[in-house]
Amino acid sequence: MISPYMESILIFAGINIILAISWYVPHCAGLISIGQGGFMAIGAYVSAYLSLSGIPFYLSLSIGAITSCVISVIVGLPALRIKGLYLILLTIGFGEIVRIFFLNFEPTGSAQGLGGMFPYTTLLNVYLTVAIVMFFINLINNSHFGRAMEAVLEDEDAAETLGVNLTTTKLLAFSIGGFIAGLGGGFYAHYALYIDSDNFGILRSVEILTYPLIGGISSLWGGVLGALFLTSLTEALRVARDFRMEIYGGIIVLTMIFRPQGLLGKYTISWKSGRRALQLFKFK
Amino acid sequence: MPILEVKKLTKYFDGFHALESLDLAVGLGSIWAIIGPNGAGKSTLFNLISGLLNPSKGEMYFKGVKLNGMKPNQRTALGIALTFQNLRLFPKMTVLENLLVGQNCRIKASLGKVLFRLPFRPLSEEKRAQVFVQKVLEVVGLLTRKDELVSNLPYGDQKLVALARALATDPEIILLDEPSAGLNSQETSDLNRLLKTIVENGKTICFIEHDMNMVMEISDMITVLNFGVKIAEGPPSIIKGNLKVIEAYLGTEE
Repeated sequence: MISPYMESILIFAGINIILAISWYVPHCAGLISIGQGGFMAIGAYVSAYLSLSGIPFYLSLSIGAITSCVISVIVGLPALRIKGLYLILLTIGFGEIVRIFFLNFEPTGSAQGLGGMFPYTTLLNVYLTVAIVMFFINLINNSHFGRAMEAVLEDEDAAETLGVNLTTTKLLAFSIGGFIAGLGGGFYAHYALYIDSDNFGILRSVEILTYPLIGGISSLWGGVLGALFLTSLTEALRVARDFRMEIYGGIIVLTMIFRPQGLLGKYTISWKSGRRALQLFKFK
Repeated sequence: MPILEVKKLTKYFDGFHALESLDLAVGLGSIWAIIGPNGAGKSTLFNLISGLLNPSKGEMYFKGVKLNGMKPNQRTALGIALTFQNLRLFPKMTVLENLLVGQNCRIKASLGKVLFRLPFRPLSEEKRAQVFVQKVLEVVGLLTRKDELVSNLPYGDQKLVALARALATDPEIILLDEPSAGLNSQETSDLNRLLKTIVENGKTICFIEHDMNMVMEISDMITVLNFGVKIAEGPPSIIKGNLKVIEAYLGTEE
């Protein structure tokens, strides 16, 4: 079997995949969030607190994700009227509010953080969750909800005159993102076994953003690949010692220069590309 | 009986009068042309009816239902469709996907139904939408190109996609903003025939146009706007000889 070291890398990669997907879904409807760390924190703290008080792991994980989802709706309702840069700024503000809240909130340990969780997160349940989440996101993407999101991403006004309800479409995308980030947070809390508010600051939110950015912003697999690639890269670069983060940053810059759309395109991995490849062999 | 009625409709932009107290009653089943020089307020009128802009004053009614305060998507659900002068298609989506977005307001399935259906069994509503959209593509003659990305199509076909996308919302009235702009004469006469077929199928068309040959050929009624004010209205034969209209287009003789 794989070594414990490999296993921990893979588990962190799996958690990062979940977080990358939590960023990808709002972006499907044109919403750019640099506050996913905040939703992750809510999922992490709520599920950790509940499982510490004796509630079964999967139940506390779900409650954490649902709490994060509900809060994303509450934040989203007023916020989604705002567009572009202002929305980005607002999500950064939200992430910081959540961080400061948990820094001062006594019941979850305030500045001391929260520890003593049981390591419920395993390779199996993380990647099973990744698979289930991807399955459902695929169903949504191929439904009228997915088409509405894509239309909103490309041209809001045109989408609205075609009968797409902007409010519900954006709110749906944003709250699915909140739910998945909450799930990621729950798994993180039960693997790291100790969480404090610094784990979920703006740096975390930016990190979550880089996964799909590097992997490919326009497909679900892009975030998956980006999270796997960057998580293993940080480990692989340990040999570079002090220059590790410089090389890491350099690789991100180079990727953005040579493949600004990310490693994967929209149809690199999909049924459509398969069908298109087949069409090449068909003669009329 | 008018399908679309506009009463004393007024729109100011920072003191600029784009539209001034306009009365308009578009008859059911007609091809109604809106003409006028640039800046006459034609596109503003369409944006007000479709809900992208809010009027400063005045009321709009669709089949007796007041439109004021409704969101654009609610108006689409009622049966009002719009095409844009600059098309505004979804370039990264295929022709079929562009049209399916238009069917969105006709699909009522909830998120739960989408997530927890039997695998590999499409929803019945989804199937119905697919069939409907393919029928629309057949009418406009784009069925063979349905899986192509819109951005790969020539301009003439993109204009057809824009029209088809509006038809895909299953509208009762279609507002077309300069449908023939940029088309060659062959494409324009094809378009004329297509618009007539659409009206024969029980729809109403209201369109903005600069191509006078086309306007005179296909429209039943013409409304002429100039500086946001209606200066003439009537069937093509009357408008042709209207002195005010000629003045608005060519200017007065000194």
